[in-house]
Amino acid sequence: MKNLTRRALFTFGAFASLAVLSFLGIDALPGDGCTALHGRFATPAKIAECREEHRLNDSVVVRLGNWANDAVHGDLGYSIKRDDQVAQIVLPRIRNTAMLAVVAGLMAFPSAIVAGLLIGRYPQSRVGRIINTLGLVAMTLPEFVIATILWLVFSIWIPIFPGVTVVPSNATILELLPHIWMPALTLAAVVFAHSMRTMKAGVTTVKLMPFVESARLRGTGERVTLLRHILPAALPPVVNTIAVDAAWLLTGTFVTEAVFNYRGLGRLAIDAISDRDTAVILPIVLFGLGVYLTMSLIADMLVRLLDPRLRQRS
Amino acid sequence: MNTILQFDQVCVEARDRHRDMTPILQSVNLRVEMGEKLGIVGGSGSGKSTLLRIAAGVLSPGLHHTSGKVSTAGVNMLAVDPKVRQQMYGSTVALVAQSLGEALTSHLTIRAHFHDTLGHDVNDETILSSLGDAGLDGVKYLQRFPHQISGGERQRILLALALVRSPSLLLLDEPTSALDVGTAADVLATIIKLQELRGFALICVSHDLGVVGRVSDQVVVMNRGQIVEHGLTERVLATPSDSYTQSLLASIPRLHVRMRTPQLSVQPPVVIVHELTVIRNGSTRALDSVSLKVGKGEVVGVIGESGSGKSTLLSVISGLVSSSSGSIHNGNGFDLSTPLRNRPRAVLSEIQMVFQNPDDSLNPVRTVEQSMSRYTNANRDEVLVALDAVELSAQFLTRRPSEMSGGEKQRVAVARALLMHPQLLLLDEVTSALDVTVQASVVKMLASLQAARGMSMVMVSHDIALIASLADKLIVLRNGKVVEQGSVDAVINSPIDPYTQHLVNLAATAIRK
Repeated sequence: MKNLTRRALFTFGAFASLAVLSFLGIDALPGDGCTALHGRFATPAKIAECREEHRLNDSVVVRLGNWANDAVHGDLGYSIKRDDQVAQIVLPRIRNTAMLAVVAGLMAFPSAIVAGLLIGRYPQSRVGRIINTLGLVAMTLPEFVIATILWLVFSIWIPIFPGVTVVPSNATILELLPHIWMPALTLAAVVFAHSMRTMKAGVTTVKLMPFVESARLRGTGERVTLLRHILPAALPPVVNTIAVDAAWLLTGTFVTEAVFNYRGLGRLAIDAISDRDTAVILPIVLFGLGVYLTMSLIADMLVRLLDPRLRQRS
Repeated sequence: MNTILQFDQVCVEARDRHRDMTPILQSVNLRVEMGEKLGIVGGSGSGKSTLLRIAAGVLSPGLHHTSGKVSTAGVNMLAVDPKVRQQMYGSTVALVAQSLGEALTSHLTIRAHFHDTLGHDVNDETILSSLGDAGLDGVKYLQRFPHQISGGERQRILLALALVRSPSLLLLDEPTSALDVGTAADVLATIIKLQELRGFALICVSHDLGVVGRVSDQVVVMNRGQIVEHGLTERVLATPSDSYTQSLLASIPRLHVRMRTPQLSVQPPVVIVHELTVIRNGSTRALDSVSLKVGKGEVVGVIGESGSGKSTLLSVISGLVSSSSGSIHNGNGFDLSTPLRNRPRAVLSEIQMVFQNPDDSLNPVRTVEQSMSRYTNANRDEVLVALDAVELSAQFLTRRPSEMSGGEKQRVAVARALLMHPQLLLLDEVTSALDVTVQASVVKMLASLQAARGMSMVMVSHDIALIASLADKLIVLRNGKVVEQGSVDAVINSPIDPYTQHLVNLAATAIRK
């Protein structure tokens, strides 16, 4: 328990210090909200006036302090360029990306664990080999190629899913649902093979371990041996793979979102960066940070649950 | 009489990647009756484990059954449907494979192990009575995970699990090789008691004639895939007829047989350890106020069970582990608590260590010459001299660890230590991974090496007879404390401490002759 508290505190500390670094880093980039607002029509006078109005001339420490204080109180700031509260811009996008990630994750991870378990246990199976090969191909193909193939199959040849998203970013979940399957399927295809192959490798090693043979020779049934002896021993590396992939699903989906015109965080990040809209970039960066740190924390906790030897030390 | 196991002309071969065949079992014939107790002994590679495993219809990867028939409880084990075979496990035949504590599933409690074997509707009373028969009392075991119990307890749990469905044939592979001498004796006693109680047929494989002598009525001696001798245990141990059996018996270290004459004169010290204490994990005293002097040319034997601190003592002397209090100096007064990286090269080369398992201490991708010259800057002539000292020829220069036997690998490890011309050689269970016959030759080599070079040695072992055959002085460690210390004859002939007495008694009765 002590270890876990320390680990959680470390995660928080890492987040806070990386947040400060991100703020300073983004601040050091050329351009700010005012140059973004005026763009090509900027004159020194307009910029100076704008900066005065939005207190951008304060020192970086003061602005960081103000921003942090507001953020802790739930105010993520104001986008000069978009003339809106940052929270109003970012939160619906986070919701959309999270929905996409959850659907893609549910498609990919459970099936990857089952497939990896069975392929690892029965490597001679023909179906297993086909799944393994398809997974590998999907993993190596760029997302836009997979997206194009899926689009061709499910939007043109068998038109069951819409090819592009035509609903606004703040649409209700029900309105969004029909548009989620294609990008989710693309993302699932990309990550499926990672965890499937980690699972398969784990099972291949674990099934030859002395305790598995020992269980069999005591008369433990094949199904019980596979599910209670082999599976939990092979899972820890898969948990870590899934954590990294899940974090990627929440933060790295901009190509897929762009292909399907899906209004998620990835699209927003690309737009905000090309607009130099620093007020919007910052929370997106921090969200990514938080996601990666949280995922590895969760993965560590799960691995501890799986292995009593680690649990005791904590 | 009912025959429970029958081998007819069984042949097994190992095939490597190049499809080269090595015979593992050659036309083995064997019959075991119900209720019989059979021991199988032999060196590593003799095929004894293969013989045992094939009785349960199991072949390790890379092995192929080429001819002959194995019939267990009337079932042709190698031809029958795997599903039928699977159903026999636990109910007709049970195999407890050799494993250094890895035969239990680390993420399952002991209760879960029983549930998986017996079904989930089984009640705790059944489990407890099964554990009780194996000498484990108490509900506390049910909730525990394998890492929370000792090696001896794990072996008892494996026995209980194997016997819980009353098989008529129990196969044991090296049931005590991972256990301390005392624990091993207790576990063997439990095995004998269980066999008398239940009347199952027992086949026990071991490299240790002492183990086999205790549990069996009949003994089979194997060498190179063949049964070279088969007969009543007492007869075979007393008057072996086969030459291999004779050499096996002659190789066993005896308490009162010395490989060298103990030196009792006081020599200038090469290492002085004074009230040394090592604290691990905050509070555990791995070593508790240990004092020790090693004289020039003296051989000090350190004996104790696992966890007694004997390996820690070597690690502290070598500098791999730092002490918490106390002092340690070499003969010139240099402070050996100095971290390794701050020691002058001359001091570093003075003390060399050889580890328990040569597979861990030799890099598998390097040849002997590369391994030996890599960090020692020795040239080929020096390497050859060192190899010659351990009785290896120049042919070995280009061999890799996979191309050598266990004994040859350990000789290379010793030779590498010799390159530094050490004054003190630390030997950590250097023969425990070796066969008895190989062990005897390595011990003989160490004795002549010591005589030729006049080196001091500190030898750690769990085998009191082995260590007594080489040492001048014995130190007995228990829970980090020195419980007895003295000349080898004094300790062996009139041990004072009860623990030492126990060890000496066990060693004296190890083989009934």
